[in-house]
Amino acid sequence: MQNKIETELADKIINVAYGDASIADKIIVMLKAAKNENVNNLLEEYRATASKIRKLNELQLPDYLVENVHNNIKGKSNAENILSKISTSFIATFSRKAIPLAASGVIALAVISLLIINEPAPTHKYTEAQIEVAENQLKQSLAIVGKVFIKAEKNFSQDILDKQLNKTLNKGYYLVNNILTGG
Amino acid sequence: MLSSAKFDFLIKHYKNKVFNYAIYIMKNQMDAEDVTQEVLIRTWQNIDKFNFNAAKAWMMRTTHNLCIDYLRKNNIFNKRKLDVNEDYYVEFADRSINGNPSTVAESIITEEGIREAINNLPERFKSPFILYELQGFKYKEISKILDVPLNTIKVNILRARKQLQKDLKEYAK
Repeated sequence: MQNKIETELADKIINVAYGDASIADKIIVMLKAAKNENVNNLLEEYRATASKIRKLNELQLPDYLVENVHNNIKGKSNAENILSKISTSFIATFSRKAIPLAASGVIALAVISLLIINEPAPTHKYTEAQIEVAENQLKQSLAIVGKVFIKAEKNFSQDILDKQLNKTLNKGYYLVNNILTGG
Repeated sequence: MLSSAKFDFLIKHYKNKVFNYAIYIMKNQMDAEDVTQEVLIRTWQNIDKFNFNAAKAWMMRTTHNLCIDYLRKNNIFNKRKLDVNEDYYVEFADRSINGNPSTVAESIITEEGIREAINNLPERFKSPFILYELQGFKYKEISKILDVPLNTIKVNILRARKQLQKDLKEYAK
């Protein structure tokens, strides 16, 4: 202990010099330093170094770098805003229930239409006799319809025009005559 | 709005700490500036993700990781020396207006010597030493930042102090 200081004590001295030793270690080192010059010298050397290290000036970050960061962030946030707006509106549009339903309806309709269009037209073949029968049935139907129309025309001209119009006209003539004759 | 206020607070208080740590690890001012910018941008991007009370530790961990990644990518670990920045000398020269020039000159030499000595520390000693002595972190915080066991941190800081004592003997006189 005369010239050489034990490693354990040296570690304690360093910690005391740098100010992060326990109270017990501080007391031990102080007592040793009071008695031993080597311990005291070592303590003072480390204290001086610690003091110089702690006095180191903090280097300043150049201001333009902070500006760059701000510009970078603004640029990015603007771009992100535009992207997020687009994506938000896209999601908002397609998240509505009616639109996917309508879209699926349109797609289903298109598929069905395609299937129908592409389906070959039925090619039925009828015999001449069948066609003749159908023609006769058509003629009979048309004849019936024609009779109905003729009857309706008669009713209109005879019953409605004669009775209703003539009555009204007669009344008019009667009134005009009375006025002209002074009756 | 709140995020912006948080970010401004963090920039104001920690930008120089990030920059100083980066400059010691990178040993080069330009690279340190790049790393610092990246850290600040990442801080903004994650401003609402990390615990604001632990923001300083988060920023330093990001700085440390970015520095290591950068050095690995560029394969410049331990190859670069600290570039002497003339601006800092101008800054110190300005101080001489208010002080004794010889004292100021001595302080510049001493300060540069100390920085050089810190820079020359082995990497495993340097990071915990800077974080503890210059950045004011506690052992536990450093252990988390560097992802190294607590006792290893304590031992490495002690070894760094011993190494510096040897290197700075001439400045300590």
